[in-house]
Amino acid sequence: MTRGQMGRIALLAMAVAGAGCASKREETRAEPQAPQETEAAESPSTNEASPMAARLSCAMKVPSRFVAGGPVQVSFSVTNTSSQPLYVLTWNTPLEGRILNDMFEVSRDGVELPYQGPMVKRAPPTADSYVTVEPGATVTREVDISQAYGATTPGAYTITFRGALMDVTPDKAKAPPADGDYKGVDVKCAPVDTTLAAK
Amino acid sequence: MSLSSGGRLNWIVGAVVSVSLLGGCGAPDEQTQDSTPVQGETARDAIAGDVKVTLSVPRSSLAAREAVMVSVTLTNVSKDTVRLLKWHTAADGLKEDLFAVTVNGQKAEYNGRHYKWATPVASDFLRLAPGESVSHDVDLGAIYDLSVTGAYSIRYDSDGHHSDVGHEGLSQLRSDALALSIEGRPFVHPVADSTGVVTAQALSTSSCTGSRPAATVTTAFTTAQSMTNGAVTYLNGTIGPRFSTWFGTINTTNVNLIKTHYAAIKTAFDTKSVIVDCACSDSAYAYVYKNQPYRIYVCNAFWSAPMSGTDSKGGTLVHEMSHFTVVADTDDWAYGQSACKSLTSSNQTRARDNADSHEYFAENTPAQN
Repeated sequence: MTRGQMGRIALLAMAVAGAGCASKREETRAEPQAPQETEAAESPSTNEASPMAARLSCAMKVPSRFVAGGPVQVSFSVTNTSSQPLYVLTWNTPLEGRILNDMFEVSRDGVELPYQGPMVKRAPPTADSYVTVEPGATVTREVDISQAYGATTPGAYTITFRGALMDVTPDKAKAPPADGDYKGVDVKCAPVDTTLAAK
Repeated sequence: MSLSSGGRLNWIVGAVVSVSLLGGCGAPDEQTQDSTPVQGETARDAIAGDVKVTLSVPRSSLAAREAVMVSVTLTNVSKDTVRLLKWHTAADGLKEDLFAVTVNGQKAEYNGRHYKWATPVASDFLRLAPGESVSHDVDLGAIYDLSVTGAYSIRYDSDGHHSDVGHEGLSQLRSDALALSIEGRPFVHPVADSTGVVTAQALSTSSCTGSRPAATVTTAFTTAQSMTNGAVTYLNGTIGPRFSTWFGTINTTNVNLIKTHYAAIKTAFDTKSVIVDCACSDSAYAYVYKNQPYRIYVCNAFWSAPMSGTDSKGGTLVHEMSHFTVVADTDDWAYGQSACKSLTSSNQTRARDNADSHEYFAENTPAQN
């Protein structure tokens, strides 16, 4: 396949990446008690103008309904729309699998909820702090936002990723960069909505 | 989940709540993505999704004369032998605030002990073979204030405990809420916590002993005060590259915003009851909860940092103090000098909201005018 072809299919890949990946995961994952996921809740992203941002798309997904008081799992994906591997620092994103920073804006019935989790000043990252996203591949991870944002009472919730990826590089040797010169990239994922219902 | 209403639960004997783990919904994914669990000799550290936590009580409605005994069962649902820090379990009695207990929606106070944990050794771990379960009973009334009569919600949440940040998944044991109806009973306070050392300023320390001495924290605190005073003085004088390096464009609006930030930081250091908690053993420098002033948790990188200068002990306290909502409400948009400098060209609003930028401005190393 030529680079030109790769480029032409990139847009198509972007358009289907979120849905394709998500449904694939659904098939392979046994989650007996998971609420029903709705395609409507899924939100492929558009990218901002920076060259690196154009190589990554992101998407969030949540079930349409949770039971108030339990976990509120939000799925977050980044898709590499370029033709070379990208190394993404997982810090302060859902890709880290836990919330150590105010990475989301969460509102209940239109009112923003204060972040209640820790704010951590990190020691410098290591290679393990990065996730490799192969060309065309999507990396997905879920985090539970219920405790960090007090999403524990019934209501209509909107969850928005604030957008900052602290470092993205195509150069494995610079993951992390020896000189601390991180290349932050903003990605824009459409917000997702969910409802917390009383028990 | 089987719980439909608290009222109905009152009549269920042996009510059992099964559990979810923080971040554990994607358990199958966890294995294949970026997080590589630490390998032990024969058991790997449990990560989210490995261990299921189940709480059970013999009866869900308890009179004042009855103890609130909660049975905590940990089951390894993974395919591997895993290990857990006993500190995050009730294996040797409850030694940390491992439950989230609320009554009528209000938090019930934890009145138990907070321990300073040294680097764990093999005997500090609980090992679970695949499919293996262990149960421990906990007398909740001995450690939580159950003096109010009402509808209680009890959840196992080892991550709610402050020193757990960064135990790389070890801390992510969590159950769903168990609903109980409890008649209030008098709470007898355990022996007062003796780890707090009050010093001259309004500084207290918690768990700062041994290789993490309170005296070092006190010096870091005075260093942070000195750095903050330096920042305040600078902002009342001629503004130059020291400002623009970290906060961007020099104009009245921007300078006033940053002045407000450091004035608030100074007030907090000088007049508030600050608690520095040394129990954290994460690789990080430090952390806070923004809405829980003025408690600052310092971690491993803090102890190896210099007292002053770039990424120092003093500067770290400035960084953390700036986070509190009631202080400057800063966020972490970038870490490190290089990335913080870049913020002034990529997103100045973030630079002026960035905690590390506030730290570097205060540390002023190398010095600028």
